[in-house]
Amino acid sequence: MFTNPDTLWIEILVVIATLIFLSAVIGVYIYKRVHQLPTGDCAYCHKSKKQLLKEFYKEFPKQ
Amino acid sequence: MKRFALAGNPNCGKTTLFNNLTGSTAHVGNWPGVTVEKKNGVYKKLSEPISIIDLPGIYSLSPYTSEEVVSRNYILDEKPDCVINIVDATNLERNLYLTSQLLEIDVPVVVAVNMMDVLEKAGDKLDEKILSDRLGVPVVKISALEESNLEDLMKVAFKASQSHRDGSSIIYHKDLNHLIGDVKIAFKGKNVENPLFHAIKLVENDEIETKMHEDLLPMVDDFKKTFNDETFGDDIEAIIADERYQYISKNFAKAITRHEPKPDENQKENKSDRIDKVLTHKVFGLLIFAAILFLVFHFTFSENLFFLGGLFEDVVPSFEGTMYEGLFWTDAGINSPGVILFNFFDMSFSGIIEAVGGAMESGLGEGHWLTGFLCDGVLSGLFAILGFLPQILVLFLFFSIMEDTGYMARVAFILDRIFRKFGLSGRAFIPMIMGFGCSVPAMVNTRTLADENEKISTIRVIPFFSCGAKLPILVAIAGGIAEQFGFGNVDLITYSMYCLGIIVAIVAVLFLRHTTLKGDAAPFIMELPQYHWPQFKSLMIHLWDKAKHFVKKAFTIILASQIVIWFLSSFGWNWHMVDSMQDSILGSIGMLIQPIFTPLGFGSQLTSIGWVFAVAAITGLIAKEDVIATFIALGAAAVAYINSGNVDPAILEALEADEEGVTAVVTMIQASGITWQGCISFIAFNMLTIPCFAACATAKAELKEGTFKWTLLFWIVTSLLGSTFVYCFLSMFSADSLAWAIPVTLVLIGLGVGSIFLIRYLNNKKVKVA
Repeated sequence: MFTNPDTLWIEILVVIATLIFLSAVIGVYIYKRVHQLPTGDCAYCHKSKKQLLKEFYKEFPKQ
Repeated sequence: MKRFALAGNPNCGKTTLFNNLTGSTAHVGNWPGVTVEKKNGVYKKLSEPISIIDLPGIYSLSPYTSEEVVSRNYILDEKPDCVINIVDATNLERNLYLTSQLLEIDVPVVVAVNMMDVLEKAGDKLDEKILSDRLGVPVVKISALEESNLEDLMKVAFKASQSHRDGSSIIYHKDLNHLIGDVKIAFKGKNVENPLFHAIKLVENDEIETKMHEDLLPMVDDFKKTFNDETFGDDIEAIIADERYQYISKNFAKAITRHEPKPDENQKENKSDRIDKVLTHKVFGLLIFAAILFLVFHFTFSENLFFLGGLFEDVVPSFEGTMYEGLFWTDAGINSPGVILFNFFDMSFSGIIEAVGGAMESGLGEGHWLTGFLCDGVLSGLFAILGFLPQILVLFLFFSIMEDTGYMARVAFILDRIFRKFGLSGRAFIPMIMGFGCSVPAMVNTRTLADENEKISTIRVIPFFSCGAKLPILVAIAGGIAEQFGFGNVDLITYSMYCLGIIVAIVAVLFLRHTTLKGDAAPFIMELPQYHWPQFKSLMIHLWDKAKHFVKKAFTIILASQIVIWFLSSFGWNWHMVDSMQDSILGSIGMLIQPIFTPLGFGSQLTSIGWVFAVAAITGLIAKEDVIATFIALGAAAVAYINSGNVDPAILEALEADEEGVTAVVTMIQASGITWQGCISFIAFNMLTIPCFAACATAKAELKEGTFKWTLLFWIVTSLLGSTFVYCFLSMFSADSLAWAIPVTLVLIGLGVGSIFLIRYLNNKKVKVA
């Protein structure tokens, strides 16, 4: 790694792009967890279902 | 912007109307209860844009279900400019019960009589003027499916929304009307909006009203003391319901002119009834369902369509000598549509990877880490997962057809008989079958189960119904087993694994409902929808939704996992690149956890590279697709180990030429020395273990407090015990392992039966003490 001066800039570019991508994926996940937003595959379904449950439990509190 | 709400009974076509008005792609299904939350969209064909809200299907505005609470709260609190009440023309009387309650609210109401196409096809006629006169609100005949008269409906609704409307009642009981009038005046005095609706609900002893307006309760209670109906006693709710139905049957029968049946037609059943006689038959119904399910799998996964393989023994594979060799047929037989699509994508992706790899090697030099990273760490895994998309879409196309035609509702009906014996109602089967798509909406759907213990049991077994994300595991491992151990057809193995999930779910429910989650199954009442041909648009909406989720997931969480796995398998603890995967960070972690899986057949008994199975099982907890992505990412790294002479060199060649999941699995099978029993146990573990993070979060939200931790434990124990049993049981069919497999299997069965009796005994003891 990082030994060939001819390919050094490509290697650094790929590493930076990878780090940005990973940070974005992990960052978005942490942001969603902190703000209690739905994460994962069916985020939309989860979000809407959570709202429905909230309304339901407002009327009928959990035992 | 004006807001129009769509309200109506379940399965009356609200979501179809919503999609056609707004151009949305909300999920539509031919069974009741598809919409469980309100959805928003915009209608743009009038002089001003109109916001359309699709409310969940409801039978009344009484708070019996969460859907009814949501719809009622929306109409009362959010005050839409108009409520479009969709009624099913083929079930007019029942649908008008809800209409009678909506009319009591001070909101403009327009009645849209849907499914006119079905009504007219049956030879019946509807006079909307009579209906409109009796209800006192505009009535428009429409067909949401054929998109007819929708613009007229919106124009009428727009006009209605421009004026105020006071609530009106169809209750004509003299004494009750007097009481309702008094309570209404009291509500007006308190400046409560919609006084008529609240008054009627309070008189009905509605749960929400009695909580919110306790001060007015004595008024109703005093009345009850002096009131006694001959039939219903002082049950005012029943009297009001009866009043509504009496009014509806007396006044709206005239609106419909029924087709006069010819003398010989009197005895004839309609088409749906005739089909139902066969499809819901006590014995044949179940067999037909099993056969249909098998056909679905056969058309999706078979590499030997219609089992014609014998005729193709000497036939040259299609496109021989090209990169698409064997696309349509091979010497094993004709490929099913699912396999053709899979092959096409897989072969194309392999070509891309090869081209990229070749270009990178010539530019960067042989063995450069960037080539390994991009080709093995990123592209192979990503493309392999995307390669499964067509097959998943084909499978879901069949499921959507079954749902849209109305057959799935019949399946719930058929299975009610069986499930009842295990302590669950057919209603519980609906969320379970939704689990074939995704566990998240399936778990949410369990809200419709009234019994808490039934709900917990259902949520716990939903992950056993293999979701779309588990499909790559099934296909790749089944392909590996078929290729390596010469086991028949891939579709048969995949079908068996789906059946295994269902069997484990039934056994688990049986266990739960007779031990810790006892209870009687609630009666199952479900309206069976009419059969109709699936709508092309609706099918495409289903598939688009599925494809969107899958691609999004592949380019985010799976790609990120791939990169991390590549990094962990390429670097050692000293942060230097390692020559052998065995010395990597992932290798050392894998070897540490490997012994846990020994009883399951993919632990310490494998060769030193066998830890890959343990790692794949763990990465599957992030997303199930990661299991195969892990194999693919580690497949190339395993080549170094393969070179030590443990594997057939032909496999090495295949791996270098083709990056598909099956080859990676075959490589792993050869390198790790895993048996076919271990492979099936590995699939079983992934089918039964803790579902993905999203499903866990949903389960936690749906279950009552304190239950989730036991649910997690249940999943862990079931997956470990279930897979151990599968491994030991299947090992009895091998001469090498027969000696230990028989006693161990018997001990496991004994422990299972013993624990059931012990829990029952302890439960009974607890009851006696109480």
